[in-house]
Amino acid sequence: MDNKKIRNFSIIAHIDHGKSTLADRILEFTNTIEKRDMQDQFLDTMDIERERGITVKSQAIRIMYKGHKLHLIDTPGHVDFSYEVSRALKACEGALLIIDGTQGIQAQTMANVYLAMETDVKIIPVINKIDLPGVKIEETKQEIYEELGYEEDEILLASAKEGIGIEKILDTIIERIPAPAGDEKKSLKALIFDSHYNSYQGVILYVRIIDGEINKEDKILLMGSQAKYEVHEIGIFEPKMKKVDKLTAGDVGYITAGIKDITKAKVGDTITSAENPVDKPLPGYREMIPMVYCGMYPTDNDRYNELRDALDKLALNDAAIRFEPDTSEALGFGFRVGFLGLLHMEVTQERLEREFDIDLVITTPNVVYKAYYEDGEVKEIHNPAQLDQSRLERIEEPYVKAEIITPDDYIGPIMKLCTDKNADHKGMEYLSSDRVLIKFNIPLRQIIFNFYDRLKSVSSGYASLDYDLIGYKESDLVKLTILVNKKPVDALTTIVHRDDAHYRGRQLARKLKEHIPRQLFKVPIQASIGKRVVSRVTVKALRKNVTSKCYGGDVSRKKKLLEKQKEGKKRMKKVGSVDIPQEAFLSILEVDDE
Amino acid sequence: MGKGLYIHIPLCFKKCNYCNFVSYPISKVKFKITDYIKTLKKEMKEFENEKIDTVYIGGGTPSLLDPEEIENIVSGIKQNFKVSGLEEFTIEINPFDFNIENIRKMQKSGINRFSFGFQSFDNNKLEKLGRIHRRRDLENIKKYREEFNNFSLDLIFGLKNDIKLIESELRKLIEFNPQHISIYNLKVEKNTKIFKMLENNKIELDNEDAQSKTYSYINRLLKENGYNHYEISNYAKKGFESKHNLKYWRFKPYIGLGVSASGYYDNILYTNYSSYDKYKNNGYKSIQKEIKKVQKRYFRIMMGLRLKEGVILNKEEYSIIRKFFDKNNLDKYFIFRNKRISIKEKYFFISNSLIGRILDELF
Ligand SMILES: Nc1nc2c(ncn2[C@@H]2O[C@H](COP(=O)(O)OP(=O)(O)OP(=O)(O)O)[C@@H](O)[C@H]2O)c(=O)[nH]1
Ligand SMILES: C[S@@+](CC[C@H](N)C(=O)[O-])C[C@H]1O[C@@H](n2cnc3c(N)ncnc32)[C@H](O)[C@@H]1O
Ligand code: SF4
Ligand SMILES: [Mg+2]
Repeated sequence: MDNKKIRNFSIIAHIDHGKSTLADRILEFTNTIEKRDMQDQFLDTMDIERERGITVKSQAIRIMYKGHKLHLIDTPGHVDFSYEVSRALKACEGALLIIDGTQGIQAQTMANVYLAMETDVKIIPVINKIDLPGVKIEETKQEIYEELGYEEDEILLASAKEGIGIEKILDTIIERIPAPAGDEKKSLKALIFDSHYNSYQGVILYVRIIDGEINKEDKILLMGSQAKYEVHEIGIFEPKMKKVDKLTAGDVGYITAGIKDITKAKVGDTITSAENPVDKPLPGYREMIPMVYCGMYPTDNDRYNELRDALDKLALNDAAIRFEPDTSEALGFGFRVGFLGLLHMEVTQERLEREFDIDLVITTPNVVYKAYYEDGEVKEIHNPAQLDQSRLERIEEPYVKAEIITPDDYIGPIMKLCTDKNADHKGMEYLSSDRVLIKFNIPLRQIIFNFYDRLKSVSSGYASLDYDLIGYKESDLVKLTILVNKKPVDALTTIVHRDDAHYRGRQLARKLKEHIPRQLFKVPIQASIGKRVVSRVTVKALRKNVTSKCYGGDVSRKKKLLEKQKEGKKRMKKVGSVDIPQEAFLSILEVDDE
Repeated sequence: MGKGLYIHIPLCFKKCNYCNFVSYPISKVKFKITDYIKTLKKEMKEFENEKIDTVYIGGGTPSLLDPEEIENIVSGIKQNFKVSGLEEFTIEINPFDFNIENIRKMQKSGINRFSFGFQSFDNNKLEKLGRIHRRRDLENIKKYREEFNNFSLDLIFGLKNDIKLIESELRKLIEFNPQHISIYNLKVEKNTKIFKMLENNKIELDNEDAQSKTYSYINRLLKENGYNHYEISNYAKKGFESKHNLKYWRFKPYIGLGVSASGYYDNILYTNYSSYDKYKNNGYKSIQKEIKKVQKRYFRIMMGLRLKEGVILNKEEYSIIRKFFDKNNLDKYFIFRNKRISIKEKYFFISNSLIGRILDELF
């Protein structure tokens, strides 16, 4: 097909504004999916996505419409997954920017627009949810005009739920989004924008062909790793993978080439012809810098290698994950894993448990600190237990530039929240007559713990947040050590602000007490800063089991009870002689601020 | 030695709040009791001519049956089993339908042990438990106490303030001078009324520590009054330990008849259907499992550790456990005598944890 008849576009928006639902209607309207196969948020294929009702991974699909080949990529809206958006945009010439007409422009609306501008794609703004009674079409149009510069007649209206405005959207895509510029006569140049691993075919590369074409049995070169392969299979997403004979400039699809060594095929790399390579690779992707780290340990220590393989494979499908081996006295061998945020961490944990069937113990997440020691050594601290307080000269922590968009009714409580969290106010501007953008700088540490939930609760859910790393700043931080049964448990160590240390130590010890079940003997839990114990609580010795009544002769029932008890124990980690349940290692997340 | 025989009567006047045993309120049962007895007798044929030395008719509420119906069951037992060596024949009596005439008839039929579901002497508590009898029913029974040679009664504890109530409960209990006592710690089962009551804050329980103290108090007081604490929840005057129940705890063969009854017979562990229809029409048993040597050891140890006498370990088990104890400092919870191991009375209340550790190590 002539590549003038191809359109590549993403659907981008703030979380929950209706991207996946709009994709559903487009798939239906174009008969891409048979009615009987249709289900809500069709492109949210992972169990986690369906359960949580959010998109986590970008998902591509080919659509035929009025003689055109459209490649649609649905993207996630949550701030943790914005790298998915930027990757998707690199494979597109255009984007539908969805704005929920009852909510207006939100923090990630802005963030995604900036991403789209960076990659130079054509944006089509769409006001969605016009079926809802609370929709404010005129105000939203005004906001879009003022903030993003789109004229009234450029803005489309839709209800993804009711299927209103779909045809107009599709026609506009063909009309406004440019066809891909590539040249199929040139030598092959393709971008790997995603990938996943399959034990039969090895790595499956999701590609956007920029120039040239790719055929079965072609010899290809991955420019980053300089590895050469022969193409086994080529296909497109419908959305199931479907084999085709070739992909040409402008196409989005997949290829397999028997790639078993997953380190050789990095997302962002450029594929070219091995026989006739191009000179320069595509710009590729910006490396993602993890915002938070946590420890991940297999509950069953023997499964360390499996966990490593699983992380390798997952990282292939999720280029934002970083990991390095780590050992904990308490938890044995595991990994320190870096994420873009807590949701990203939760999702990864769940995927490891579901897709790879590995039970995990996760430890308290932390940001990356920079320790400056007296002898001049500078160390990035990914794991608080590694901070050597005794020879510390100073310590720095990461700061972010954050933006909150909110109806002006909530300015008061939001400002209070920011002050509580040591934020440095940087200004405020009105987006419309009653909505404001608040800017401030704040330690990332403060954003990670409880910020988002508290923001949502003080603003009745209306405020939205976006943030970006700006750099490091010195801070008065100390290491808070937890001792269980008089032994320091490295996996429970955290770094906190000196002013909060007492409070946090006390709260954390209390939370742990709630989580750690009574053992045969009594177990003291202490929080200490250096040698000084700031808090002490005790888990009393076990005094009672669920005892049995008169069982008659039903011994199987008693057996089941004991087996259940055993199952429960299996989900705990033995630290010294104390059984600690998995949740306990995340207790700090439950500690509220004063 | 003969086997034990358990017969289940799945009827109650009204379901108690805490109870999840298989029994139906009489207003709701769809079958006739005569039909049930007929089926019981048919089921007996499956085990014809077995030698039996203990019988236990439980439930449910067997005391709801007429003396004639009970006589009918007893004659079925005599026809189908060898009972010449019968030593202990127990029936459970709900204080609400205590009737001395009926009891005398039962005694004539050969029943020699009566187990009363007192549960408490406190009307308020009886109400919370959903029991239909009251304190005065118990006082009435006391008048006839001398007519029983082997009198057993059940109590329950664990509700809020039972720690305070227990002293007077035990004082009243002692007045009955029972040969045998079962005191059960209330277990809140899902699908019972009491579970919902707890959820809706209609009742409360004493906390773990209070319950444990209550239990210690019971143990001390009953010991002072001459009772042998021979099983976690059971106490007896010397020689009155329940022979039938000891078969369960020593994992010796027993036959169970009636809906939901279990048995251990010919190395088969089985459980009957809970639904009367299925029980009657599908060959009684819903689950049958052959018990191999290892499993037999598992059950022996699991059940045996509930007893003060404990359980005898074989050589291999002994050496595994010895090492395990040394490594984990577990000696303080157990008594080792020759090859026999038992849990110290002081730690009976956490026996599940202890039994669990032993089983996990051995199997
Ligand atoms: N009333 C109404 N509800 C809609 C409309 N579009 C989407 N929704 C609802 O909004 C919610 C979020 O929709 P999604 O399509 O999952 O939103 P999303 O933008 O894909 O969300 P993320 O992928 O998590 O960023 C769902 O409950 C949808 O049913 C609409 O046009 N009208
Ligand atoms: C199966 S019942 C049958 C006895 C008779 N139906 C009665 O209740 O009077 C045997 C004993 O188990 C005890 N029991 C029943 N359910 C219990 C529970 N949930 N928790 C503790 N003990 C219980 C009661 O003490 C009861 O007397
Ligand atoms: S406790 Fe006894 S009387 Fe009450 S319902 Fe259960 S079996 Fe029937
Ligand atoms: Mg979505």
